[in-house]
Amino acid sequence: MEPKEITPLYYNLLYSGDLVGVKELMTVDSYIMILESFGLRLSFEDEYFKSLLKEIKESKDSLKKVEKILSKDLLARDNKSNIEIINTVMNGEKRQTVNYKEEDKLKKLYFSKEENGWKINYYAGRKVD
Amino acid sequence: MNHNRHQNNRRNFLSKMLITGVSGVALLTGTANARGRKGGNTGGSRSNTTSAMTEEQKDKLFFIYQEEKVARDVYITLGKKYTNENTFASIQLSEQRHIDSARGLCEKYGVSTEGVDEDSVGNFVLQPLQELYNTCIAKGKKSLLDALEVGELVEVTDIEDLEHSMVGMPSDVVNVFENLKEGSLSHLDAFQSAISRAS
Repeated sequence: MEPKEITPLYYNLLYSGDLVGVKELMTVDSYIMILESFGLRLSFEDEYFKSLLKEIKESKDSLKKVEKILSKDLLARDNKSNIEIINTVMNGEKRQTVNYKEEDKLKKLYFSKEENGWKINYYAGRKVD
Repeated sequence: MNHNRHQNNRRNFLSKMLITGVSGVALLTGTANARGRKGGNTGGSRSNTTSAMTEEQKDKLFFIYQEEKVARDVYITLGKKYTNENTFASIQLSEQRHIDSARGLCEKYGVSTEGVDEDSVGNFVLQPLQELYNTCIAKGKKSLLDALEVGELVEVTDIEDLEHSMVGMPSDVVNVFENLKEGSLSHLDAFQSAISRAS
């Protein structure tokens, strides 16, 4: 799949709480980033979840529990993805940025080409030769 | 800040980390790896002996540049809500200097900052940064105490992030990050004092 196809799919999976699917579309670091950023709200309210979230890099068990709890939370948020792709820009041979609008606000999703195809990679935002 | 007070701040920060645990803004750059390296290290011991920066380090620097804006924007927004609490107003100016420093390093090392809009407060092109901002603001709008606790969390995690990010960086980058960390320690002190007053 190309980045412009992955982008709306990613949003659909994320907002439906399908973190298994989300994980497939991202680099490991970026997936952890998503769990941490979307998990912050729950961590403010739930000490148990907070303790799990801080262990997700070291403990597979904590990671699974976080994914399970956060998946339900994401589904309950009932977010709708209204994504309009504007264009894609190559930032190097193995990098691409998708420019799009979410709810009429300009957004970017960075991609890097890994061994198993294009992956969302939040660290791949700068241009390389 | 005198030396003793400074040391106390560091101990307080380490204690807070044990309690706070999960981090917000700075979690985004793999801060867990920084644990156990706090205190006692100098910038020189962490830096490269050359002025070269790896491609991976450049990627991280570009992300840090984007990430720094979250703290500034959170403080601007919460400062507008809690106009009688001047901690936000005073620290947001310092946070702008953090952004300036990160941008300066990007320019020095040839890292393009194209596509980043510093001026649009509360708007982020990257989804996880937008989510962090939104979550911090939602909590901070509940009460002044919540807002100050958000500030404390942001600073704690910013410090940890800088500690992690400076590892292996060229010496001039380490020096900048050390300065930023000192600033964040001062901000942390300010927020904790304000929390004590508000509690």
